[in-house]
Amino acid sequence: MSDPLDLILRQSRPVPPVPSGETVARARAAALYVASRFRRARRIRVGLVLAATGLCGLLISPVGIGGELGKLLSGTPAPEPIQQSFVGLDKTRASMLAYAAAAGHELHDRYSKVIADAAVHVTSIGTVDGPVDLWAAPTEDGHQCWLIQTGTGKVSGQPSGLSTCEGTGPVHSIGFDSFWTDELPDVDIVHVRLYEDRIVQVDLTVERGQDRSLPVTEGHALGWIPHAARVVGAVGRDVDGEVVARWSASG
Amino acid sequence: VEDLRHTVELVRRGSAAAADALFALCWPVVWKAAYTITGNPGLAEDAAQDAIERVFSRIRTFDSSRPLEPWVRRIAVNAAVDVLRRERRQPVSIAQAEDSQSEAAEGGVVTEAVAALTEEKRLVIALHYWLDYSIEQIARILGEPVGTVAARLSRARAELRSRLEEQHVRPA
Repeated sequence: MSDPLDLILRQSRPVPPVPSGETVARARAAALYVASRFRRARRIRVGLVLAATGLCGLLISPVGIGGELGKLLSGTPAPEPIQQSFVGLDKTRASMLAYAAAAGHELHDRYSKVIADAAVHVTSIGTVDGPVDLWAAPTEDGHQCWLIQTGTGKVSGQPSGLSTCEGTGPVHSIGFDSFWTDELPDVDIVHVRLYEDRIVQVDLTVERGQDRSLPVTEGHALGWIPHAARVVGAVGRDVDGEVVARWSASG
Repeated sequence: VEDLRHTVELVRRGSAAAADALFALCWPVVWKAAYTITGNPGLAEDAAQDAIERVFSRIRTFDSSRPLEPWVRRIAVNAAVDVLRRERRQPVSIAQAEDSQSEAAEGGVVTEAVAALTEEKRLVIALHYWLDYSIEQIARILGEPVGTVAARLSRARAELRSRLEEQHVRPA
């Protein structure tokens, strides 16, 4: 027979208090910052010809180019919930930069506030699991933040998906990212950020799936591949079909 | 498992969305372990912050064919133990001590009795009864001989038994 003391103790597990929003935000910022270094390390390791977009503005930095594209941003104005998601992204980004500075990390990028009320709808795609929308907002220094919306919270009614800001340091021509979300379980969303005005089409080489061609809108190309597939390379083409930039997963 | 493996792989490749998803999976585990070990929201915050940084720093070493939660919990426990050890070297103010006792009292008679133990005894109780680690696992976490941990657990149990019997506490 077990000792009643064991039972008493096991029944008395302390219930942690709900952490403050500030605590969670600080921890999330730290986690995302640490994870963002993988992208930078990978970029350095493989010596990417074409730079990827930065996580919340910490990684890469389009000098000049970003400013130009920022000015060209146009589209249907974003509704209030989308604007609010950019406000939230702005706070997270500020926290991340503050965390990194406090931790003594040397940063190329500088914080620049998102102009949330200037957010616009850039493009939409349909996937086998549902639609995906790309929204973008300029920052005060002429760069961009964007939200790839993969759904809307059933309880909160807030948009869900991936939010990112580009940085303020040097970049090349193509930034590539892909991600999976449980809202669209059968697909990976592919996003390509172009920092070369001549690129009007992005061709993806896909492993375990069909190759894709994506049109470019306002410096963004959005697409999807089956969840089991993987993009191994991308080329950016101009209006004549000439390749002006390349990206490779293997470097 | 496949989705976890995929998420971890994407984090290793630098995906921001995957990192956010991984944070959402890890944070509740980290926070619970940090609070359970430290018994104090302020120290738990320090420990959880350290732990989440360690989790992401070490994600490349995680074997994604194994469950994530025990790996994350172990990192959080180690971070919390480190925070306690650091804290032990700091003078505790009267206000902090009173805060800690008041928080424990809110958790009930048993939690209060555990909180009144020395830190070393409280730690083995928390690890064994609240986070389900075996004596051998606790010995590895604390870097102490199994016999030392077993003896400390035994002394902690005896002390708790005495206190709880005084207050006629019975299992629910």
